Amino acid sequence: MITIALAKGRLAQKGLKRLTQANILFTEYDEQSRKLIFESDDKKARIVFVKAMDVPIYVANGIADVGIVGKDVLLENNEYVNELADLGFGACRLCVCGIKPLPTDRKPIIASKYPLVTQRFFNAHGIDVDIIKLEGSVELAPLLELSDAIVDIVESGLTLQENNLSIFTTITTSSARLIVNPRSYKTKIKAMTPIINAIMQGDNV
Amino acid sequence: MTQSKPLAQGMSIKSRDQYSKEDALIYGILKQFETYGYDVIEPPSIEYYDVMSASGALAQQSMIKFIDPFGDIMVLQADPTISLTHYMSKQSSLSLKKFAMVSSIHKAYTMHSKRHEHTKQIGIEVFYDQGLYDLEVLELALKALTYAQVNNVVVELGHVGFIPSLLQSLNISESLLPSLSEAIKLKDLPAIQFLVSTYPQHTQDILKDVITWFGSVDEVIIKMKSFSLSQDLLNMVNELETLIKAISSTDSLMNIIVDCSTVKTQTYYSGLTMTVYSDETPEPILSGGRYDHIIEQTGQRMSAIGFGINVSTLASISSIQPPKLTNVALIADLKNPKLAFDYANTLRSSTKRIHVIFDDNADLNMMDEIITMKESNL
Repeated sequence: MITIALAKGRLAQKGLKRLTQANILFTEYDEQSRKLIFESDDKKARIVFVKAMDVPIYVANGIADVGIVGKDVLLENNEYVNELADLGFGACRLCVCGIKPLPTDRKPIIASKYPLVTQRFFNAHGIDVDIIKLEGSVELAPLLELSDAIVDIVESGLTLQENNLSIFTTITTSSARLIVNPRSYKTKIKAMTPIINAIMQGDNV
Repeated sequence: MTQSKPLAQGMSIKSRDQYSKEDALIYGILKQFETYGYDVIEPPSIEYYDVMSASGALAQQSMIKFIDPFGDIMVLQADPTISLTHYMSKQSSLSLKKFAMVSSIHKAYTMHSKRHEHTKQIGIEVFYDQGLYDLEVLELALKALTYAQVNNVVVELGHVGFIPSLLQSLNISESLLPSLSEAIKLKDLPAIQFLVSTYPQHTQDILKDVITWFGSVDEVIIKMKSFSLSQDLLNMVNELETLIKAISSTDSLMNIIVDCSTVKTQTYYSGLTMTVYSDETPEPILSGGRYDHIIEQTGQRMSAIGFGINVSTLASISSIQPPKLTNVALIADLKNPKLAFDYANTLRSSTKRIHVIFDDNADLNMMDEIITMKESNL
């Protein structure tokens, strides 16, 4: 059986839609359910719901063979997985945002859910920063003066606008990626191929 | 004061089955190596940092370093192949040497929750001037796996020269080679597409397809034939095909595949590479290959090939059954401990473990047999 790791939300919905289009059906699946594991009707696959940040971990450790996850998460995670495709949905940007420019008379403080990406970005630009790792509502940090700026995902920019934050710079763009466990990809290639093809070739509806 | 220190990582109680299995595997596999004329060699557990880092194969962060009383920077053994190669570079005679070894490998991590790890590895290394030992080493790798009675393993063969030669034949710019090689290693298709987006369509098509060039050697050759590739590249695959055919004739039941997109982490590999995977473990069971370059770096002109097997990983999937032991609890009288220990010694044998127990409340659930010792019984 092939295990597919998904994070609840839009990426999972789109992934499931593509599997359905390829007749890989999970009729047992119910969006409202608190169950975390659902088997396909033909019992050849199962989906497991995990936190987005944990998708590469489950895949890298071989617990899941396949996963759908944002590039932003892959950049933060550094896990050894094979990244087979840019699925073209879930597009967003990873940006440095704030209310006022970064201070120059002291070390700037940056809040982020992405401390590694943040560290790499500021290192590459020769700026020494202190990083505060936050788990959510990152936009609050500069408003309440916990940090001077944030590094976070920007989709429409509406949340930033409503909180009087602006984008200083874009670190990178991100979109949904199809990842596979490198070992599974070789040892279970025949069983994985229909699932990989379904996810890669489906429509973006 | 030491109470405040956290526990060092690595303390683990091994079940009797686990260590018996590991011992049985080491003993049995070494015996297999011996029949091919391999001498057992023990690599040092501490190596000079300069030696370990000279090949560039190991990241300095992955080594556990310290300064010895003479002021030299030393590392805990991180790769016995490098120590052995250094040893060979000091030998005046360059005749054939075949070594088998069991060694502990220590690694440090910066990105994982674990900080240090030590693993036990069993393997072989062959240093030779003339001849072709790829087949013998591959055959021994398969024999070790057969001895361990492992099922559902995939033996992957690759040629580390394939991707560099392919990139050269496609005239990929020098500055792009490291990132493109890394993307191919990770089978990162979006990155490959991005990196070669300005190259001719034919080049883009080959590089997008190359990450799928794995499977049975026949499948791979069919995939490759749809592109016009240089004879050098086809020769490398033919080399692997010849090897697999020679192995197939030795009645191996292993699932042997070829991966042309192999890019090994250890930069010292120079030709054939072999990796063995199982569905049951996330880490490869066996890893190895040709590493002529590393010995060339020491100034010697020799060929070298070898492999290492992670003993714990192999034991975890091995069907070998170590002999069953009976656990016997000898409930002893505190007033006469000597009598209890003497009696226990008469009972002990290669198949019986005797636990002398003075505690009336001891948990005896794991015991197969209980003897209550009273003077009247003796």
